[in-house]
Amino acid sequence: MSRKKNILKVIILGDSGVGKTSLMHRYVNDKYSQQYKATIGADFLTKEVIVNDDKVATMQVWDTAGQERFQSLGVAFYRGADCCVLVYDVTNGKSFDNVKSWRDEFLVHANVSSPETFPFVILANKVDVEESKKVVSSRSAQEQAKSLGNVPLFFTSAKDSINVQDAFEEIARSALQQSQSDADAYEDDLSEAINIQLDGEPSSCNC
Amino acid sequence: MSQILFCKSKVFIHPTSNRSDQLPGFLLVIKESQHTQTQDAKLSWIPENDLESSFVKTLLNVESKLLTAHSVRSPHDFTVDSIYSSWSFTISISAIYSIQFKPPHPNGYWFGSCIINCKNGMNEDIPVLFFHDDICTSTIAKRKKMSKEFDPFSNEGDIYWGGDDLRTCLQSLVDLQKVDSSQCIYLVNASLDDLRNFSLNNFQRPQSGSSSKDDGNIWDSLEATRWSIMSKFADATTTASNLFGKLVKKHPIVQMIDKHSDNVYVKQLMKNPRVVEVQDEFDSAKIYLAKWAMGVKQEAERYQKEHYLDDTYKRILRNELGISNDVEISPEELNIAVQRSFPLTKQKWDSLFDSQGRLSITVHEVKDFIFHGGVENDALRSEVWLFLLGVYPWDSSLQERKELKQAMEEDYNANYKSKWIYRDVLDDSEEEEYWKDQVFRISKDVLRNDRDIPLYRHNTKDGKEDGAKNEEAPNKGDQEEEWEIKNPHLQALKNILISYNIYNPNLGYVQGMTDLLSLIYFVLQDEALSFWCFVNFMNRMERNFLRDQSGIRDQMLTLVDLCQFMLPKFAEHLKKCESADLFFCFRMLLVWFKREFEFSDVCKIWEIFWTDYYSSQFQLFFMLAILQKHSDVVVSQLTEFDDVLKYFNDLRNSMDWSDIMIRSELLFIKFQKMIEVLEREEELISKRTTSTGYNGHEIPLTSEAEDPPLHHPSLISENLKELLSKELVIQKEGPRSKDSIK
Ligand SMILES: Nc1nc2c(ncn2[C@@H]2O[C@H](COP(=O)(O)OP(=O)(O)OP(=O)(O)O)[C@@H](O)[C@H]2O)c(=O)[nH]1
Ligand SMILES: [Mg+2]
Repeated sequence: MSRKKNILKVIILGDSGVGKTSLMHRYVNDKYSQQYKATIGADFLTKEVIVNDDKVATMQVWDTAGQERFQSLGVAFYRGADCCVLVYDVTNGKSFDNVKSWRDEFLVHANVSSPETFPFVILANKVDVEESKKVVSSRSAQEQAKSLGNVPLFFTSAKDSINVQDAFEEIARSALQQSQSDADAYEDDLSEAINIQLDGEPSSCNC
Repeated sequence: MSQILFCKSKVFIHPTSNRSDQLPGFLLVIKESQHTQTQDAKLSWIPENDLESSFVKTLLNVESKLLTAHSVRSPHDFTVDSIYSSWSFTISISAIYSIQFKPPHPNGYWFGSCIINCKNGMNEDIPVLFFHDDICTSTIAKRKKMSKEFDPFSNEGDIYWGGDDLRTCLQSLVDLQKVDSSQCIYLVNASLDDLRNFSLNNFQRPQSGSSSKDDGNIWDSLEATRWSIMSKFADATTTASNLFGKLVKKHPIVQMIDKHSDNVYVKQLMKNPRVVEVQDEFDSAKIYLAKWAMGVKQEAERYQKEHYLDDTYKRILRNELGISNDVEISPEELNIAVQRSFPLTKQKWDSLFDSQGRLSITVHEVKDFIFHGGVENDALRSEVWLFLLGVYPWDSSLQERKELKQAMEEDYNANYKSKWIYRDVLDDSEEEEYWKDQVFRISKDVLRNDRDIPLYRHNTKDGKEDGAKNEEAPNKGDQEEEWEIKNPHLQALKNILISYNIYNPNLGYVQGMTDLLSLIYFVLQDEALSFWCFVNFMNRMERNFLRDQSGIRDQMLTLVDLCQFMLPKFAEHLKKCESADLFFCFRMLLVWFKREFEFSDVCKIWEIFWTDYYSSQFQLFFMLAILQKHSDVVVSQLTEFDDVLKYFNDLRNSMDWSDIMIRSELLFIKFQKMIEVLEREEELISKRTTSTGYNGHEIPLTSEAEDPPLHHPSLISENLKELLSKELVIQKEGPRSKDSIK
């Protein structure tokens, strides 16, 4: 699959209901609603980002359905990704256990050039809920992140907008880096990897 | 005890043109008893002269009671049949074929009249009925009342007259469809063929004439309709001298109309005593204006529906999908597809069943109604869908359905619902885990399902907004509410989905199924019946949810073939966009366009699909129609995979479902014809080849056979052939094992 070089492509994966759609909307539109429906198929939103204080790029955030069986048709757009975001729900132990398999699944289908260095970011979502509901300790979360290759880990809440911006800044940075190293690998012009745009509205979507 | 449903005095017959021969009488609609079907009510006319004066009084009394009551018990000693005179008549209303309602002349040059035609050609027996409104007490009273209520115009923007009351009464008893707007002809319980024939003759505008003039047609007639309403209104206000009148006059539209007050039509209306009377009696210009604006809006909407019948629209369709590849869509086929203005009404539906409640026409005819007109409203839907979804057999009687309904309720509760409500924890811990996970998934999706629909909106015990509590505890309280399902309708969705898990343990719960159930429950609002409807719907839809995705993949492959076959240029372009696999259609196909259209539109779309009228996979033609409609834009504007996906994802809430449905039908017809042509060619070729290869040797390639046929026969894949079938395609999930994908 050819891809447009001026776009940072980010894929969000994780079990159904962990909050992928909510996180994407929180990040792109700074909105949260209880009414997002279960995602069917795939969709994406784009947002202009400024990375490392000076580089402007367009980030394309892909949201997918969480139910496993739907992945088999949805792998086409894994390819060309610059960063993969793995989400789990701190109130749902299974979603935490599945983080590794989401990563493996991604690597199998995304066809990335060097799996060892491909950037992932883990988001532990729904930290706003009361303590009694949380079943995944931050200690085990950190251990897992470490074991998966020192993957950056953020404790987020789409609902209360906790850490979402920070997390996506990190995501944008890793994506840009990945995109540049890919470009290097192809001996492409470095500057082409970044789409220089001074202003531009983030596109919106009401899904 | 019989009941009088309609009674109007001073309905005249005019045996000769001589005024002195005119006979006044009573026009009545009578139903034998409460238990007879509404279809069996009778229409009678009795001359006043034949009645004793005390009886005339009684009837006048009934007439005035009916102004407020729906029906009145008929006086004891009264049976119509016992009264006989040379002019009186009685007919069963279901024996009426058509009625023409001719409104009175605005200035009273002629009376309003009704011309009744019967089904069995006994027309001569029924004289034309003239409504002498100016001396009829109920009509006068009603007009006064209507004027007071600021609605001097009846539905069509015309001035109220006595015939309107008869029409309203009949409309509540039988299916009455207007088939001719200028002549005001209505058909009673008509077959779809009759409706089509009548309205085609009527709506077909003169085909000749320059094309540029044709294009103006829509706007001309829209302006004309608007104008007639506006001018009537303006007229009612121009002579007003009171404050309200002045207020109305400030309205910009009224001012605009004022400028046109030299218009002949307006002038004529100004003299009309009725308009003056109306204007005298209303006293709130604001409400009047609002009603008037509403009238214009409705008129415009009605117009929009009718404009499908317009030549311009038909020409667009013909240009886009009409003629190519040696096949042509005939004008009749075009008209049938475009003509969607006769919905299945409650009255029509009732008229289709005999006294035992058994269907008295063919299932195909019923489906024709549903396919081409849809079901009128959700109340009727809740009945019709039970048949469409196969819960009630088409050939069942009313009694059988009653029994069936009860049996199904018991079956649901005893064998499915209580199986999980009173279940024991399973010994197999993995199975127990699986079960909990299923319930968790269901609850989570039910909570995220269609919460914008009022029925599901508020998560409270009674489903109503919980005003007081919200203000008190904005934060702490709602966290609890978030996870727990309280709304009884959401709860019902959950119950049904969990019960379905018992019913079909292999499949279990898959995302998207809530979307499918949500609409069914919304229409039926009955848990047990919705369960069975859902079970039957899932029988058809299970293929969309299989673990290995083979069923949905099959459909997408078929769609790829179909697109290649019907829209080759578009298909070619999609290849360049790396979208040839049509992945961007996935969501639309998975839940049958539920996410792309408004709730009420989805009801209309699904009931059409359920008819299997042309094909059991008509959803693919609907999808094809969406592609076709947007193909030009996509080909000229989009070049990348992600752009194409985004374009189609963003179509939600922006499509006119009815236009897409018309295109789907035409595309199907065209498809069918193309297949026929190809199959004929294939047959010819195979005849030729078998005759040369008669004695079993290898067939030599003759020069003839080398000539490529006009179309390559291999274009007709098995997938495509299957699209012509009305048989459901059933694909079932296999048994589940411990490590099956979820
Ligand atoms: N308390 C809390 N709830 C959240 C948060 N993010 C999402 N939710 C809720 O979790 C549920 C699922 O959220 P979605 O964003 O739809 O989850 P998803 O991962 O996109 O799910 P799928 O589309 O099924 O894969 C919804 O009811 C959200 O309201 C959060 O940060 N805090
Ligand atoms: Mg989602």
